[in-house]
Amino acid sequence: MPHAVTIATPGLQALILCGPGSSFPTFTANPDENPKALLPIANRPMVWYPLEFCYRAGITNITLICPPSAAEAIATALKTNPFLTSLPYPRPDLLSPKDLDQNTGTAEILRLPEVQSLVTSDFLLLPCDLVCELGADKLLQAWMVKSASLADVLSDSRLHRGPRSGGLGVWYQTKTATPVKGEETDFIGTVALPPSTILAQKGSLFPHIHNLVYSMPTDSLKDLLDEKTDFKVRRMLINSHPRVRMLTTHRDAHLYIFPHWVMDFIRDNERLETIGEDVVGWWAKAGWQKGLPAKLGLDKILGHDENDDDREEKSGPGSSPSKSAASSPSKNGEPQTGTAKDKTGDARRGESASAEPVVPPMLAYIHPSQKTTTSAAATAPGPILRRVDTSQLLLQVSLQLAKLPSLEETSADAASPFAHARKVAYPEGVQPRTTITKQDTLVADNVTVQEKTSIKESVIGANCQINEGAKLIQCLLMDGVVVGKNCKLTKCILGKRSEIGEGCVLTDCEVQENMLVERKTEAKDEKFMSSSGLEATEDEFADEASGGDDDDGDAED
Amino acid sequence: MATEGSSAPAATPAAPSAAPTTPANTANPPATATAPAGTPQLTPAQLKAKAKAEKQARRAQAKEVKAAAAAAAPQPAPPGPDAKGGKGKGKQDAAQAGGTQPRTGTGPNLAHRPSMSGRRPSILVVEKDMRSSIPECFSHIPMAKRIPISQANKDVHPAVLVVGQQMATFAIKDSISRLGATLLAFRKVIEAYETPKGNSLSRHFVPHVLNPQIEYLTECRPMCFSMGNAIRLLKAKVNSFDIDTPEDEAKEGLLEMIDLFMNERITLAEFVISKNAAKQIYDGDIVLTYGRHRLVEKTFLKAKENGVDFAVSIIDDPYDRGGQELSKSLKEAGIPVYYSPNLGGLRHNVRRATNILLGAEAVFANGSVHAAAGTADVAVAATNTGKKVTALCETINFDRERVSVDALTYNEIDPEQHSSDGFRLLFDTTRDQYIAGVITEFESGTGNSPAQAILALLRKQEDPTIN
Repeated sequence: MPHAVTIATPGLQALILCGPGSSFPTFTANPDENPKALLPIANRPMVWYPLEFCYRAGITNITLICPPSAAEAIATALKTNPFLTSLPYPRPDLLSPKDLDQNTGTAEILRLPEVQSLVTSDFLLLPCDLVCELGADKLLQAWMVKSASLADVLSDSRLHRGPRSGGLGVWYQTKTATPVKGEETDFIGTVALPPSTILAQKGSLFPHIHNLVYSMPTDSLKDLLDEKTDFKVRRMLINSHPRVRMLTTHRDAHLYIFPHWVMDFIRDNERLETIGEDVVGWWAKAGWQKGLPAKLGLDKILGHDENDDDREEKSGPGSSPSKSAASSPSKNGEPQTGTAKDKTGDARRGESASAEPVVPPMLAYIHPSQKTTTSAAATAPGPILRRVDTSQLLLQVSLQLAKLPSLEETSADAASPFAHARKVAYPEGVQPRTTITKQDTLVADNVTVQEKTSIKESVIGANCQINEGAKLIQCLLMDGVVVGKNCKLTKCILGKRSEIGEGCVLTDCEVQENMLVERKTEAKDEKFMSSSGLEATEDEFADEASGGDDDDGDAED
Repeated sequence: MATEGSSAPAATPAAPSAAPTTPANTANPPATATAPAGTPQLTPAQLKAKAKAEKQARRAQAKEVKAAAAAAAPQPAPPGPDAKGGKGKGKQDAAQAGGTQPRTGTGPNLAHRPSMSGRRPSILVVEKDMRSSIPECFSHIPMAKRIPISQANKDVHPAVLVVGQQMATFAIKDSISRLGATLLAFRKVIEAYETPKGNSLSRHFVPHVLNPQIEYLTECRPMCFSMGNAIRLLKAKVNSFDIDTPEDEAKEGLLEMIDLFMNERITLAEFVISKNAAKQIYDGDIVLTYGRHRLVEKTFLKAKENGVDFAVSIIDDPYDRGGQELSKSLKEAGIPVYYSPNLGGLRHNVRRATNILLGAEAVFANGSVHAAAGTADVAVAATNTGKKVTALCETINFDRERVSVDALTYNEIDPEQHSSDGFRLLFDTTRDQYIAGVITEFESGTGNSPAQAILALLRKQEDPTIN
């Protein structure tokens, strides 16, 4: 039932980037009709999860950014999909900048003029494939206390001659009890924040927040190591931060809270292509590498008031209001009347005086990994935080979400925000003498399940039809799938409106949408995809015929 | 039953006790039945006493069931319509009683659905839990509730949200920083305010817009006296507007008042106080101070700028180690520092010092100084050795209505350090006989009751609520 968001709004806006799914070859072969953002995770379209996260945080100014070719599909889904229409008001906006195509880097997206004019305050940046059960208000509180500077929020440089707001990113551990093969990781180096007198409440995230000093995707790291055979660490890093923790198995959740000046930073630096790698990586380095802030133009962007007392930065050509003429750089040598601390109890930069602009830190919240669950009842595993960008992850996260108790089994408050109303949404469609393990299965609306079937630990999408004798174990079925009689499917992912003939035995398979798998197929670890789109067109035939050897352009479905 | 006649007095207590709720129902008849059967020769008085005891036990049990139901709120309640197996009527009652309650309350750690609004009762539930270990005789001492932003009223402005969270996590601690941040946040609220049709700012603003912000800030952390004073002045200013004052004029008036207020009573006060206090430091002095206070720090740096050659002895608060930051900043300015991590060896430190400079959080109407816990010890020890103790305080922190002679009347409990064995208080009160002088932005009062001199001045001055 649509209703208005009734918690306080923080002054942030949210951007959700709905890109093509390049790691989902089976299911996003046609990214315009079936954009990745609409793939179902536990029967809800993928984009529902970041949207719900924003609403839980109280953010109402949400914009989805997608390429113009996919805009129609997403707009229709926003109007018709039952989960998306039950999100609270105000509805998210959809922006499709005309220069955005399937290959634009994420930082380039932020450089587009439509997006630059859209972002007017500090903002939250989310990917469309993030499943985050973590309390949004805790993350916002962490940003408000640790990163945001009162000087920026209150637009007053008089009371707090302090630094500009910093950013906050989220990283999570990929080496969980059930790791997924081939999941991307990032290599990050973190440094503990200076001890402060901030009281950490019991549930707060502060103990897990560190200062990010180095960030690089593991792939790039491997390339670097291949090239140079050893990992060189800059001495400046060790000089400023003697104790750096290097983490190799974490992954960037791509959930960032950025201050507004990052938009200027990206606009002025054309070399930045992706946010995760370039923007965050360079920002982290700018914190300790002398000369880098100037090269990146950060001194101009951050250079605000030319207060004579405390600032140690070179005053930039005044982008700041009110204050008097440029400060004299000669002040740097004198004993400071107070270092660049603001009135907060913690000093975010304890570095000695230098002529560099003080770059506000990029903080990293390292989501603690779930302990191996000894007894499921004793300690609930920590909140789920995963990116879902490969099919294996899709399966795993869907199954994980299927295990959450539904709303009718627990009270409304103890339930996770991802709990469904009922595990079996349409119990009338389920014939007797079927086995459905309710505690780890999710069956959507309008599903007919015939007799003598067995469904264990699976997720069944809407309008599916499971015929007699089928056995499904750890499967994910999207909308409208028809499973023939006596099939045995294990760890399979079946795309929309696909059909599995009778008697098939499939293990670890993926079936693209609209595909028909012949009866009595036995397959293991195979991807059933149509080769449409691989067909050669008439012109290409003609070219080949005139050019030389024949290529087979066999078309079939 | 034949014995009923003989135990008529027992019957009457038994009859009303047959009335109470269902969990007790089944227990009742067997109790009255077994009593005569098991103990043949009880006198009526004894039977009456026994029935009374059983009734008490039943009442206690009913209360326990209710408490368990309330405590079971975070835990999953038994399934509703598809109840598997027969549930006892009593359990269903308890579930329903517990079911309605948790609907309104959520623990701070639970996921919050967007459909739930910020409700008041949830905050009460949390408060009781946090304060449960503190004895009732201290219930008048507030403790920071530190609510998360998901429990804030939906009308709270984003800037106020940030300020509240920073106060709740003690990122900004001392009264003047909190005051400044609050006023700047209110500036933003006023700038963003638009009077709805048919209302006027002077009637609508305070109850509908300003009060939710104030409530939220108070729930993050109890207000300090200066914030209370400033808000009182702000509300008085709003009330002073005519009902048909145009909105722009009213808004401008308010913004101007806030700017003037901050300039005069925060920025200027700080400047004047540090200048005056720095004049009282001479060459060769060793100045003792407790903890870290902005005014004291500024005084030391100003005195160093004036070219005085002195040293500073810092006694630090062991829980709140602000003195370490202070020593770092003083060292950078070139002032030699003696640092003591707690009150140990206080007498030695006092003997070594030549004069004492203390920062105050507030000053009461009887001249007592309200300051960080531990300040009183330093002041008393110093006065006993005859050294001069000076307190620094802005006049906005003076409270002309409250009086305090001990540290238990007005105080705040540390939200991280409390248990059933004890709790830590954040402030203490130093009586005026231990303070030789108070330096404010008006003038330094010295003499027998220095604070009283300032208070007299404040009283004689034009009452600030009338502009």
